Amino acid sequence: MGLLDLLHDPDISLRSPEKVMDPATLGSARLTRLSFSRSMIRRAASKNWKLKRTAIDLDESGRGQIIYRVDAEGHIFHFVAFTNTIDESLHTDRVIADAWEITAALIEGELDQEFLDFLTMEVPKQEEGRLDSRVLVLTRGNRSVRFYEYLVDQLASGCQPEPSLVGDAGYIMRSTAFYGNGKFGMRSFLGYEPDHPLSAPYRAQFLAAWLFRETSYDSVECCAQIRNPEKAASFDKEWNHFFGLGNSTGLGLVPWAMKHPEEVNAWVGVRELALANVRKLDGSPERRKHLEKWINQAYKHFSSFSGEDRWPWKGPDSLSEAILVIQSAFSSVKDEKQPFNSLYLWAESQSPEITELVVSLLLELDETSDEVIDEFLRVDTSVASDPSMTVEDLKKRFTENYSWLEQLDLESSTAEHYWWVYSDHAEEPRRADRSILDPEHRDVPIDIALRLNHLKKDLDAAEKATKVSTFLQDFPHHGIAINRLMKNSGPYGEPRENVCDLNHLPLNLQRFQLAMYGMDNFKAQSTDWLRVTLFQGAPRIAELDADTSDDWVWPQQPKREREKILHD
Amino acid sequence: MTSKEILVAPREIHDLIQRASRVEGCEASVAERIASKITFCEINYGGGINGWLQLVADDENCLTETFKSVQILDSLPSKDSLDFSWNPSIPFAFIAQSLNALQSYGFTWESSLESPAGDMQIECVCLNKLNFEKTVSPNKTNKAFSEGLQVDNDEWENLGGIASRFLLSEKILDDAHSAVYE
Repeated sequence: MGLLDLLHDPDISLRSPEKVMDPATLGSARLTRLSFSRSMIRRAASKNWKLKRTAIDLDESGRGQIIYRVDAEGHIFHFVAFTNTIDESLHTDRVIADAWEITAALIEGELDQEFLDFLTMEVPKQEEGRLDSRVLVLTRGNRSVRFYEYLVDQLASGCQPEPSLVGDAGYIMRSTAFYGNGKFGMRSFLGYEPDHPLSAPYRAQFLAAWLFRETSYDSVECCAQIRNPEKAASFDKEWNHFFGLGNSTGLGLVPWAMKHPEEVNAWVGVRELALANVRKLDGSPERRKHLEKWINQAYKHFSSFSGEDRWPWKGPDSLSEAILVIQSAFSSVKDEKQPFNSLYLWAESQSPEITELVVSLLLELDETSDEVIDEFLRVDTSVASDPSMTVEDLKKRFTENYSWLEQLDLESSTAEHYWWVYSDHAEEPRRADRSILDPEHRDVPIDIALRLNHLKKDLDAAEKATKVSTFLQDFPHHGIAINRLMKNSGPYGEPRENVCDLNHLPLNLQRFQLAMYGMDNFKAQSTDWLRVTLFQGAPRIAELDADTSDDWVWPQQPKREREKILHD
Repeated sequence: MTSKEILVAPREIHDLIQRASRVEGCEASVAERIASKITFCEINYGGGINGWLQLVADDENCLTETFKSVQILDSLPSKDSLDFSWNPSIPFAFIAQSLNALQSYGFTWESSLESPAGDMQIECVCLNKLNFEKTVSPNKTNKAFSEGLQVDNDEWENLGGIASRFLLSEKILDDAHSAVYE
């Protein structure tokens, strides 16, 4: 059965789209075992990918070049990173910067001098460069201003970092963009053959992100070695896993979510199917133990940090307290016939953040194979419209799939407050106040709720038997809304909100997507952008083998040297 | 690839045509459909971008009108044999995708063009129902996705120049919504 068949199967008890696609629920999502960072490392481990650093040529400030080679299922890839130093004043989290301390590309194929020269010329230029289909991903970022030099100094003097000075950051470098899928001439996502190791959504970007994180580790260790060859240390086992890759994310995720209902439906759908599977399971001792292990791991992770709530989300202090409550709730239901369902039902009566934290924990019990997940995530967006459809058919679809629009108050004075636009600097998506700036044909058409609302009025006034193609000849501006209705992308394709409303909070859609990617440690910086980390706790590339465990997420903050000795 | 050509990805054609069509006055839904038509034509017949450029060079207001004039081809014909004509003629790029879709419903088409390309002008097309389903081979599309597509560099730059006017300056945007970055 395909994903859509399963999502419409009445025998599968799925959460309702009204609940799951509510902005508050989307904005409470957490990483799960289905998240792309974890599925990428599972694939790499299970398919015996071989990764190694083939070149590192840095000066004592970390300027130079690092190259990694990946041998994956008969395909060869290289990650080529160019590193530099820039003045601190040029550091910005925004996508619009003009200079970065690291620029890099993931390419497929062998890397000869001619190709390396080409990359050396084009990759540092980022959006201004011109690439070709050998290049799969283009990325860039900066060092942590606070920590990079400190980490180099510590290792150079033969010491490990002091947890209280670096532990809350969780990263050495922070990325600001991962471009792929045909941008700047790179290979299109649809250009990967079905059996290609990177043919799952965002797998190429996540391989690049993992190697970006490896670059950050190698860069620090190499600089320390250059500065003090005799005394320099490498990161010890705990620090070797603790740092992830930082990332800052702006408004770009909102247009993506609104333009890709099939993909959003697939991302949410695989998670909801997995949750439904887990809720049906009986409470075997092994399963109960497995969940208790994950609850414990989550508690240790959050309680090893300290941090108050930061609007609009809970911080580590609240989360560690919440996990104790979850632990207690599970203890009280674990002897029931379906204890995981009971835990979920308890969680449903809690706040959305607690509900979704429990969902994340429960999904560790899911056993859906990675092949099935990958297949479900590869959606076909090329479905042709049916020219025989009538206005009556569209109205029926409207009633079946979009009656929730009535709850959005789309006629209110605030409903069309914002319009969305691309800036001329790195094409960064922004939103503009309609009362200050007229769109004048520059609006990015992600005002889906408004478009559907306008369409409904014209459908109501039209003859029922009118063919949609005829209707479109009179109302060509309804094309996007009609396409939405005709495609029928699935129950979870539409976030239940109007992204043009004055009260729309972009952070909800941003967090949803970042959680699907596998990012965590959400720190909102305003209503429109946030910082996160990914791959915190992940293995270094040299550690990857068939036995690599999937439980690397949620690492504890390393202990101080003194505490370690006492602990040991 | 010659020095006069550039390798581009299909989505780049789609993005630039969509934006450039907005700049030329098209509503978003219309621009989206035109971008889909031109990208399809560029991949399968070539000349799509040039067909678009020729049209807007002639008359900046004719993009939407041309789009409206070809919408009839997005319907299933009610007869087994039907002629469509355009006066003035239009670039083949605007009807190639619709004709291909009709082929999948068993309609064949004929025109005066022996080897059609997107920038060739077409005045008339005849549709005949033969119940013979035929569409363009997916090979060209697959190749375009995996290797890219060669297009004329001058045309690409010309299109990019028009499309760039779809973007708004940072300064104006900062004034229109100041709460983005504190």
